Amino acid sequence: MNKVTLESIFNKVLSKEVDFCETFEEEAATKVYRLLNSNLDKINYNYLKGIGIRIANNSDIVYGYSNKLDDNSINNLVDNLTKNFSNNRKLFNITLNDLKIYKTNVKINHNKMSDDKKKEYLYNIDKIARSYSDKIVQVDASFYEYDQKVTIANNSSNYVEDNRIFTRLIINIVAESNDKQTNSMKTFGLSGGYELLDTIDIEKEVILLAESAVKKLTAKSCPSGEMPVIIGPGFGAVIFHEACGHSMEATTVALGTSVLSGRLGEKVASDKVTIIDDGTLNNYWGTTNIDDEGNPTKKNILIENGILKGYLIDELNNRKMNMNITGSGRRESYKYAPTSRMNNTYLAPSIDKIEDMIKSIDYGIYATNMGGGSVDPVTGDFNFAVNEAYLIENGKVTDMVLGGSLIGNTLDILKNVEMVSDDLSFDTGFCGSKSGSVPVTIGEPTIKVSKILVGGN
Amino acid sequence: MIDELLKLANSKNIKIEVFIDEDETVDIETINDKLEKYESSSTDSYRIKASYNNKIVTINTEDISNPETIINNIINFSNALDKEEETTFARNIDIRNNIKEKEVKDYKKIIDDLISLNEYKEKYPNIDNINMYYTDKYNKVSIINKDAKLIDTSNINYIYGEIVWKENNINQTGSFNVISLEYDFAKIEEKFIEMVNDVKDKIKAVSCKTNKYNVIIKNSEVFKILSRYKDMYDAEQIRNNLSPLNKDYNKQVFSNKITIVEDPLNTSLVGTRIFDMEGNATYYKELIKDGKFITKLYDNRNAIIEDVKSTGTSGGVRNMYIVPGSNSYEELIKKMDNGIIIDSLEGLHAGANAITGELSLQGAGYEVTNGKINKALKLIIMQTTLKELFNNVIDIGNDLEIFSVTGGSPSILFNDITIVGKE
Repeated sequence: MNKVTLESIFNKVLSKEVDFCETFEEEAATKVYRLLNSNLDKINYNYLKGIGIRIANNSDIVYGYSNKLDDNSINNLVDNLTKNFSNNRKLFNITLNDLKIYKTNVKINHNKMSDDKKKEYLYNIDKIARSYSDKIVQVDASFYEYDQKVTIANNSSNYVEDNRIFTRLIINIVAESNDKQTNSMKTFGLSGGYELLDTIDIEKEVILLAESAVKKLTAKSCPSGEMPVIIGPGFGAVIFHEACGHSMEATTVALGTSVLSGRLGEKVASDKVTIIDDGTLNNYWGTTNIDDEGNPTKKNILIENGILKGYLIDELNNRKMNMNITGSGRRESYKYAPTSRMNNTYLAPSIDKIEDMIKSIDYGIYATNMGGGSVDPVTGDFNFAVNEAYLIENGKVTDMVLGGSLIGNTLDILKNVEMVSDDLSFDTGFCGSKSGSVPVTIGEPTIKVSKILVGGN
Repeated sequence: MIDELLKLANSKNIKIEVFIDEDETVDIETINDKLEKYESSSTDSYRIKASYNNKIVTINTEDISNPETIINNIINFSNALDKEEETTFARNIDIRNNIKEKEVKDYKKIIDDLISLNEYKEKYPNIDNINMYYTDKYNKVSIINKDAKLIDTSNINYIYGEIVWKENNINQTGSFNVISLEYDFAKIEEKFIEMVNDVKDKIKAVSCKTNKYNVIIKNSEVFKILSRYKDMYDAEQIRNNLSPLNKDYNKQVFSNKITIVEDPLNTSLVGTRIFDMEGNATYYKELIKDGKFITKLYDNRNAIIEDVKSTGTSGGVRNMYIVPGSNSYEELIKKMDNGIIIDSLEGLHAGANAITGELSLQGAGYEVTNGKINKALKLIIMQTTLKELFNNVIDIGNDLEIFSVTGGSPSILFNDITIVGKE
């Protein structure tokens, strides 16, 4: 949509008694190459193009979207959205600023790597995994390419465009023996192109996954009960994403219903806990130049040495909270109104040694690989899955165990973080919430939690 | 534009069909006594299935204004694919096109209804927050190719309600959802009151002792499990070792009390569809009969691979449910005598392994002693496997409820399920 058309939309909307208007245009293509049964099985291609319009007057908010972009359809959408706002006697003549264009820093664009090269890489993953053991019965590996262009304008004359490129590799290896089946999965992703592959030692990673899937075939069941747990680096940070990240999003904080509402400046976690959400980390999977409200992303310190320092705040929730926006307004697509969300959330490293963590435990588990989870941000009750874990008995790591989960409450877990190591690493995922599913990075060093409820047999 | 696309495809020897999905949706959100958000949308999307040089390509797009780009993508993608495969395309089948217009709703009345629930704050002053969502979704789907034109429509009302109960500085949340063909405020109010009564008990919830228990899982939560495993019957998943039932076709996999059906033509349910995404007529079928896995699901591509007929399930199952028994929910509680009711299971996307069938799920509910509800429970973990769970069935309730277009479930009484608690 050109600038003149956008300005006419703004002028039409502002002829009503409204104090906020925003347009979000999006054009996005997703392409997935999937290897299965040692063949390139499918190429899935999805393309979307549409506009979302958000209008507010004080705290009255309406949102509408359409992928019918002709003048008539857009006019109908605007009429439908503004019909309940009273007329404004003032005349407006909004002039948008010159378009400011951002783009992801990319070294190898998706179309700069040939289909043959992509296939060769996926075949190699299959070959390495199947060579590891004849117990490997399936290798499911995919490249995920996402090219998104968003153009955002609002009645403060902001007019910005972000050209985003994301690339991800997903590997899932299935092992089978005596009718027992296990799997191990890992993802690698960045905000960028196929330079992603330069960051992966693929042979090492695939062998580790295959080894894990095969070892699980003979693993014991996870023990159960409340016990100390060491959580490995990287995806282990899902504990902080679920346990406290969601509770710091303005969606529930502004309503005063989050377990962390109204607690700024309070000590909510152990001294070892410093949690940061940073949308600016160079080329990380959860990084964008601007958020989906057109504001530059930021580094936001949420908890510092156990003290609650801030929340994640979007444009409209800042009205309710009277606090500065944090560049955290995100949405899956034009089909969602944005709200405050996490980008790259991590626990800052400290100085504890993993050997000391293990030695300090008589009976517990060492969760080396975590799955996803979920949280109720109001009560703070959360859960997440353990994909791979080992028993700790008398200060030593012993047998592999599997099939467990960890559950607890945000406020308890934050206080029970007893030790934090220095091996900070990051993993990638998608986070689902009110404004849809968005790419996020989570990171943490290895930590020891003094007690948490473990589900097992 | 579709005609142009079909013509251009024909000129390039590409077999093609277009599945069109048109949505008109109104979403309303109220927070306490205020309209928080009104959302209106209209979208068309297109799923293009093509066969070129014996390669099958599927493209999903919201823009068909440039047929040449679409055709070029089909050719490029098919050149990249490894395997030659066949598929079939829709024909005009002996079904009546089901074309209904969008029902006109009084959204002002619906907003007033949702806000009126705040009157319950007088009776229950501990209700701190009431958040209600309403969606009115009109959907029209059609399939067009050179031989066929099929049309189906639906108009569904979704309600999701959530409250926060505050007592002695402790928060407890409760939620419910109602999906229906007709907007029915009486049903919404009934569910709302049921939720409030549940939440005021849950605020006092404690954990339990780790043990094996007889367990009643409420209908909504059984459906969450059923829904998580809705692809396990899929022939492609089974062939690729990605289903917990991959060695079990024609075998007894669950208790003989379990029969799971797909009932897509039942017009009293919300998921009714007369044809699937490839234009095959849908039909009633048993997937699991008396515990035996008897029907694998096939789209056209996989039907050809295994030399069988499509099951009319391309795009996913509709109206799938466990066939209900004869006991009311209250009778199940009496029958259990001592055990645990689970009325909330969380984190299924991670805690229920879709390939291995392992279940390790955060739960909440009630302890039942001598046939009566004793105390509320939370922060407990249900630890089992899909097969263990559905083999340990004592009885099935008669309270079948539908929770989405995918289907629903009755409540079920199970024996000897491990529940992990802090005690």
